[in-house]
Amino acid sequence: MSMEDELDFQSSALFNSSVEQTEIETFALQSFSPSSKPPLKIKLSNGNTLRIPYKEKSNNEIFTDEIYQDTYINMDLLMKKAELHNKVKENDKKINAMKCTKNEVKSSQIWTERYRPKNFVQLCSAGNDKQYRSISLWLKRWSPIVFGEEFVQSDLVDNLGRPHHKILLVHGPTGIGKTSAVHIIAKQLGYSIQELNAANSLDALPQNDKSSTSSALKLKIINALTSNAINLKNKNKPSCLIIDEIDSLGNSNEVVKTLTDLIYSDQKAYSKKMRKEQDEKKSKKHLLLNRPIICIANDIYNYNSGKLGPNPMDKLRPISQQIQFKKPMTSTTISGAKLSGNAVKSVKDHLMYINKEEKLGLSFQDLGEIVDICDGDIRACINHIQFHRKSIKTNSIMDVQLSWFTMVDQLFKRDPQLSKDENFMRLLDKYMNGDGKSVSGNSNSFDKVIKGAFNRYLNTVYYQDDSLKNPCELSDWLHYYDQFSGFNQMDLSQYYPITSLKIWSLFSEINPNKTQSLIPNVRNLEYESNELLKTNKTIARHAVQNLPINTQIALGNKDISCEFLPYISKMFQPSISSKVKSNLNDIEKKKIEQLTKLVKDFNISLEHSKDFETGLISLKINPNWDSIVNFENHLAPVSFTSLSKQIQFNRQIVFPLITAELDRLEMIRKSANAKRPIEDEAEVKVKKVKLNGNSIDFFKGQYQEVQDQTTTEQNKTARIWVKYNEGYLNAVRKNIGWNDIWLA
Amino acid sequence: MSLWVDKYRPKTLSQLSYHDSITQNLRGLSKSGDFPHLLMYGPSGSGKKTRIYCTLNEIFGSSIEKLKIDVKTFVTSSNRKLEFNVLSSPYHLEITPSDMGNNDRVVIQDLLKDVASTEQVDFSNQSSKRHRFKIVIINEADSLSRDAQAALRRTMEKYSSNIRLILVCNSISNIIAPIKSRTLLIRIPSPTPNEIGKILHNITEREQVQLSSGDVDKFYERLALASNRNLRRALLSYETLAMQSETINISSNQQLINLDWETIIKSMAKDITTSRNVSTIAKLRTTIYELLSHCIPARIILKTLLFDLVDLHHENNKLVEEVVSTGSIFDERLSLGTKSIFHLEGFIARSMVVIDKYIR
Amino acid sequence: MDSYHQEKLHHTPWIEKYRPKNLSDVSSQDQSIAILKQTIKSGNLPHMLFYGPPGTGKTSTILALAKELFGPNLYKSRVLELNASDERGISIVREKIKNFARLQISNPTVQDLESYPCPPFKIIILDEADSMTNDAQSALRRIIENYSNITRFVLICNYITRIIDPLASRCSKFRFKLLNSENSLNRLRYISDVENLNIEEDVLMKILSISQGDLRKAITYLQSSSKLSNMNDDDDKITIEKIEEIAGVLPDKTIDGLVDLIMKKRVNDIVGFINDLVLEGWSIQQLIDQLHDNLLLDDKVDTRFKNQISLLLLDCDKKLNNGTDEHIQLLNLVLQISKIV
Repeated sequence: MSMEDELDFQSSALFNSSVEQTEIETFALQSFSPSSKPPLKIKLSNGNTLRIPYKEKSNNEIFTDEIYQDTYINMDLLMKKAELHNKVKENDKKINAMKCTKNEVKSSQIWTERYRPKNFVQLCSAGNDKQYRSISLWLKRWSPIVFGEEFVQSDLVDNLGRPHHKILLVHGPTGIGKTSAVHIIAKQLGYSIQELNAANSLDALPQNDKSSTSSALKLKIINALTSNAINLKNKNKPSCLIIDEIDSLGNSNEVVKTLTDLIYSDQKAYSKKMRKEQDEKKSKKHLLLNRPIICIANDIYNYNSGKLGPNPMDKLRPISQQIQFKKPMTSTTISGAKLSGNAVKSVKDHLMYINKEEKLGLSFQDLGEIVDICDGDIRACINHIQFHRKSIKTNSIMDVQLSWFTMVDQLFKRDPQLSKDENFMRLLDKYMNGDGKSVSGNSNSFDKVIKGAFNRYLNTVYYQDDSLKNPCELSDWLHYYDQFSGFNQMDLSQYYPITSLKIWSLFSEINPNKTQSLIPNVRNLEYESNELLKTNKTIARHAVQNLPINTQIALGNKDISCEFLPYISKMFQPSISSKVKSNLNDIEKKKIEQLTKLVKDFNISLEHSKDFETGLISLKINPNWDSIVNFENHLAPVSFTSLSKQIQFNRQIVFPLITAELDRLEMIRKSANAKRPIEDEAEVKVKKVKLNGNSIDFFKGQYQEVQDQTTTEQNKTARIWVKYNEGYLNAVRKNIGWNDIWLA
Repeated sequence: MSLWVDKYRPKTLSQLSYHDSITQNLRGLSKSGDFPHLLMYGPSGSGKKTRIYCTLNEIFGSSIEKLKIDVKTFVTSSNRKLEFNVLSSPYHLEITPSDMGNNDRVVIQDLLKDVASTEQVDFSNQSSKRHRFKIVIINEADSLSRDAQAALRRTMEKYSSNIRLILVCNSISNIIAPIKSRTLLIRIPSPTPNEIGKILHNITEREQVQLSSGDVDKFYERLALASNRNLRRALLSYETLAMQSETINISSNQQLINLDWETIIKSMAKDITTSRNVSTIAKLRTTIYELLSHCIPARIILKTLLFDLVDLHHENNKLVEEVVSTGSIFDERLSLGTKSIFHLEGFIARSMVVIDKYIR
Repeated sequence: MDSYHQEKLHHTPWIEKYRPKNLSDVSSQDQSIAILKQTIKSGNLPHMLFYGPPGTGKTSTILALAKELFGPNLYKSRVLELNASDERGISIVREKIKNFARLQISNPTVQDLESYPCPPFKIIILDEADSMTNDAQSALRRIIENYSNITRFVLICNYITRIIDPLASRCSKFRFKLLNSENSLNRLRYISDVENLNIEEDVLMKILSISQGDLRKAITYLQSSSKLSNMNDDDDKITIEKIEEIAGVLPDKTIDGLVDLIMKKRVNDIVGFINDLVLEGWSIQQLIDQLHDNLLLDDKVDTRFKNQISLLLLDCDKKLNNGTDEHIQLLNLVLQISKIV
């Protein structure tokens, strides 16, 4: 650093202009200037000189005096100079950094975050466009009440201009952009987002006391709903509550309960408002929902077996509108009827965009394979690309470590240059010593190799000679492999590769044919069937739990899905000639009565559900065993579509009849009850609840809701009632409190 | 109690309609006040459970019907929580060991110890002191691990003063000899078509089911045979028939209720016979996946398929022999291995070859 | 109290009730018994390994021996009995057995010394030792050696091959052979006389043949059948049918019918017949055993043929042990046999 007496304001201009951006620099200048009497000229490391204007002597005179008194080396001054120097250096760095921040920040960020879509246009459709549209439609319907827009009376909204279902339940497999989509759409429509998820606030609530937990939770949710965000950014934007991962929250039961409470109180408030009652106190109690709630879940049917009690999602489903996201798969049905190649293409496009941004130089085909590996999970795809991008740059996917699918490829390939024995030895060497060892030594990844080969061998045989000899031989070797892998002992794992070598010797060919597979969708078959199996098992378990105990006793484990449910489901398709009860003959009436009894005994509820793709309303039984009983196969006696049509048609006739019958039984019971002289208070209460539940719904005049609510609600109440009847009412003539019943 | 199966299930020994000698023995057991540990075995739907509950009813009275289901949790040594259902009345409890997986030994020992150590207090006010014991019913006893069975034999002796075990299983081949020698074996055969017919006839009258004119007995017999002499299945399918049509057409060309999965397997057998090539295998693979995902166990698929094949080719003895032997091999593979799809497909390929050999 | 005792006695299984009280009561194991008696006289005992088929009196022998050695008073402190159902993992070997083994022996009272030999060691009986894990067995090796001055081990097992060699070599082995029918018959007759059973000689013979030399099984059958007959007042006679039903044995007629079909090679009839058998709920394992007896013990059948049948039976048994489906396996077996006839 050099100091000169000369002042040069002009030359400093350049420096200043660039420095002024940072506050630190100006601060440094200010703090320095008072202490140095002579004007300063600072030479920057880049060769420019910096002159600092002399300022009037400031108030800290003592300090400066001291400096001047010191004729020897002024340490303090030197220190200051040094400090200044450092600061300038730092500044320099920062300026440089500013120029390249973009790049550096970018490379340290996880790509899934970096390429998280920022607006609707960036959103990767992945075959879920319809779903996106439904979300935005649903949110739009809130506009009248949220933004005060003029609302048009229509069937889709209630009289206050809100959608009928106040909660939107978005569900679908992981990593296909549910959260992103919801966030973006809500933002786009002008909401500020209040998010609750497993990570934030919910778990921090007091856990020890149940009542306080749920009340605290309620407060939290209500707060989130009522408060308009007061952030600097989102001034006065209305909030939209998003509850992420609602199915895997630690306290999802309570969350759902709070939500149902909210809906209930909203219903009350709503009906009050409609009747124009102006009861101040009550309307305060019953909060009118005027902000949208969106719940996001992965799976709304299964529930974790580790958790006790009924699936909270069961309660959430009826009160919410559901939107299902789907995986971008090459085909959605096993038979391969519905091809949704567009979905995959859009994912690939999205990946291609990233690919171009990052200059990875992947081909479309490579991306296709990545999508396949990751099972259509977009997040996984992006992670995959980022993680392996180095190896990708070397122009082959993951060559560093032999991946299982390249290994499968090798198994079906034969090098024409070499003799069969040489070829074999080379492969053997690879498995025993070379790259393949890491794969073949690991039972998990080797399993994938075998499965991959299993998925492919039929095609090869088909094009080779179409004989059955090789498949037979393979089945023996697969048995061998299956047994070995079952032992789970380390010293046996070295024998795994033998199976794969056998596969090579059986099926390898010089030009492996990569064309159309004999089995559509072969790679996902196993996964899909396993998933379905899991779902079906839970459904079956659920169905059994609802059965009366005496029926449960007689059923073995396998009887349920193989015998019991198929028959019961057929029973629910009786031959009934008319929708109107009075038109039925005696036998048919009897059938309906019988079915009604079944519905009650088995604790079944009859539900409506709307399919998003087709927009059709279908009638369902909950627990929904259709997926266990009905087959979608070319060998099935009736094709799936006509079967489901038939079932729906039948249900449209039968369900209203059953519901009517349920109503009738309820009425009989009530009237029988009213005649009874001895009535307990508790009983009356129960009835009140029932009446409330029913009559309000009844007069709404909306057929669909009436049916939904009455069936579910009557089922619940009816069940309590049956027990009560059996145990006490007829047998003992005395006053019975509600508590007695519970204690019994 | 609305299903016919439940509605017409006998509640007492006197209501039982077939296997009179067994009923008599059971009555004798319940009268004597004490009985040894029992091992009931027989095909499914033959009425094992019904007979047990009738006997219990005879001993303890109708309070045996006050059933409730509890979910018990058990913490294994590896600190994993295990949940299983226990069905109980004041006098008995019922467990299904397959709920417990590999820990069945520990769980059963624990549970029995628990039951044995809690004396039945409320028995004191009863006139007779003879039922000092509690009944423990173990379902699917043949799925108990060897370990658990070995543990049971000691437990049976140790707590014999206040516990009586009733083991229920389909076959006693998997039950170890010491247990067999410590229990009274009671075999419950499937009811004969005739016996099933009587029961169906009774229901027809009570429920006023409309049947078209014709040979009623033959119809009943057909129904019984179609459900493989499984009474529960016969009743379910009869009720379904009644539900689906106003008057049941009982003429012999009228289709009975076929379960979809059975129909599918039947057509699989036909496909295997008619088009023996790789593309059929490929097609059938999707079918197998479909069946598996609909909770049809792999071994049932194999068995049904095998017997359908035997049925199709019953006039070709050599073929039947070889198909059955193929089936027995792949059945073993299925029970040893874990990847059922490999073996089912293998069976299909193999049986195609076999059929190829004998049909030209 | 008395009635309670009576009732308890009534409930005790006959195998316990009629368990031999002393060594001389043990039937038809003369050789082993003679050696054992010798050792009692000498007052010393080696480590022992008893092996042989079930129900031949292994456990009875060692219990009787221990009683004779120590008498009822000392018995509790000197004898530890463990069997398979007690937890017998390696940890138990390490703790429970070791603790008992290293325990100093208690001094016998004067009266005991007068009437019993009371040798200065303890006895640890490991019943069903073949179901111990290999780890547990090897852990036992050291313990046996270390405490041999004050403890004797008696291992009891059915299959000596399942005892690891080092352990077997430390013990003197006693093989218990199958009871001969005469002795067993005597025992059965004795019991039925004491219990006042109405039973014919040929029924007793049938019991013996069903139980195949396993006296415990025979006694259990006897007890269950008497129980069943007592309950039905009308006829308290024990018949062959009842025994067969209790033992889960198929009537000879059925087996003969099946063999007949096999010989005639009528495949369709066989399929139907097997189907009926399965629906009747018969135990397939039992059926195979009986089929084995019927075919292999038949002198008229050719030896070569017997050889092949044995192989088939072996294969079928193996498959059944792997938990396969009985129906398929039985059908396969029968069809295969009929093929080679």
